[in-house]
Amino acid sequence: MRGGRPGDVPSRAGGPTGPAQPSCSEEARRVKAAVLAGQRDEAREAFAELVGSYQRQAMRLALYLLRDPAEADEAVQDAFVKVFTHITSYREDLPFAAWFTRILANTCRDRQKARRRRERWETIGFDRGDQGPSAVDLAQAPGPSPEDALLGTERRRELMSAIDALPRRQRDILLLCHVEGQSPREVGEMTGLTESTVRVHLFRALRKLRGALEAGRVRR
Amino acid sequence: MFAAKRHLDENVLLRRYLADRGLAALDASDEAPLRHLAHCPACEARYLALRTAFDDTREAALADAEAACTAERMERQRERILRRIDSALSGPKVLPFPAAGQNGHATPQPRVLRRWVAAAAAAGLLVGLATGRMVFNGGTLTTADASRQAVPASAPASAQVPTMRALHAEPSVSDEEFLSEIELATAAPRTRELRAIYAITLDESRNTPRPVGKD
Repeated sequence: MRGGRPGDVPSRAGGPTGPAQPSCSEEARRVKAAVLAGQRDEAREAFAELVGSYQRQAMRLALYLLRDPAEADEAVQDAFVKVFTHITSYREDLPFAAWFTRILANTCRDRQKARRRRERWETIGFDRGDQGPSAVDLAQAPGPSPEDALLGTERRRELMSAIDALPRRQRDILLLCHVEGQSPREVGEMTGLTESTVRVHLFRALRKLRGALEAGRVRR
Repeated sequence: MFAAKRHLDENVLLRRYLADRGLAALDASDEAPLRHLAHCPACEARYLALRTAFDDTREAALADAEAACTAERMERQRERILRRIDSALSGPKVLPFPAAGQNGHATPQPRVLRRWVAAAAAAGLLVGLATGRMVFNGGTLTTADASRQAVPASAPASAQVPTMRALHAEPSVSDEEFLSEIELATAAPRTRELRAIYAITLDESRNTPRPVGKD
């Protein structure tokens, strides 16, 4: 949400930026107006644009919270359907992103609870599909050389395992603030924590991550 | 002077990094360490290493997430969302009744036709009631008949039809009784219409008293 007007599609701080995206709040207002006017086709069309604008970011947020692509996929779908069915209760004076991310975060939280309940009874773990590309894939892929790609993949896996080793709340806040570029206030709204608590968790997460990275560097 | 020459703590570097990212605010106590950072090459190098490590981590996490957001997955997800929205917009589906029509769609009946059918059914009911009332009150079945029919089946047969015993020979009736009944019937006063027949067939008048032992 930084780098634009409040409520617009948040841009990842420091990350690769795509083409200029339209305001999600504006699109949400269009959807709401069409639904209230009973114009189904227009509502559907405007909502399709809204989904296209916000879908990728929503998927990343869900992935950070759930750490499972299939579950994140389902959570994003549920969140968008909830948004559409409750679009008439959307307050137009508030940013759409804050409203949506809260819905998405609640949906992810519900799924986490359900998963924990399920895992109590299941002995088979989830296939998270984090095996990474094979050497053949890397050799055939365009871009950097296979050696560089393999080293990059290995380095990425180490970094991600360092993040995964953090406590769950610290990890979520680190991913949302540090990686996704959300402000502590926004993350606080999403997670139900105060802004200062989010800052404390973020600081502790970075300190632990720094320690883990240093330890890994020493081992190498 | 002495404090300024000490190298910076890791926490100070972290706060500086968060402040650079806009995720935290520096306060007045950070002013001196930051002055040190600007003039200490060693601390500057440590800070750059820390920043590079965190930036690498961020890039790795982003790449990890983006790897899951393939174009195919995004398109499929978008289609599913819109399909669910379409079903929400169209409302609940009502399955057509099987006999509604061959093509599965029930043809709506005109409202006037349905009213005519209802009126005809009501008229038929009224006519049926009136006919039934006429038949049972003014016609074939009287109250006496009904009461006779209502006699229980256990009542004796003689009470129901007294003349039947005379006409039918029952094994229990003796010959004497049977002959006396015939006698009684022939001794009954004759009707005027049958006198001519009696005159031809009988040689003496029935009204004349016969002497005892003449037959």
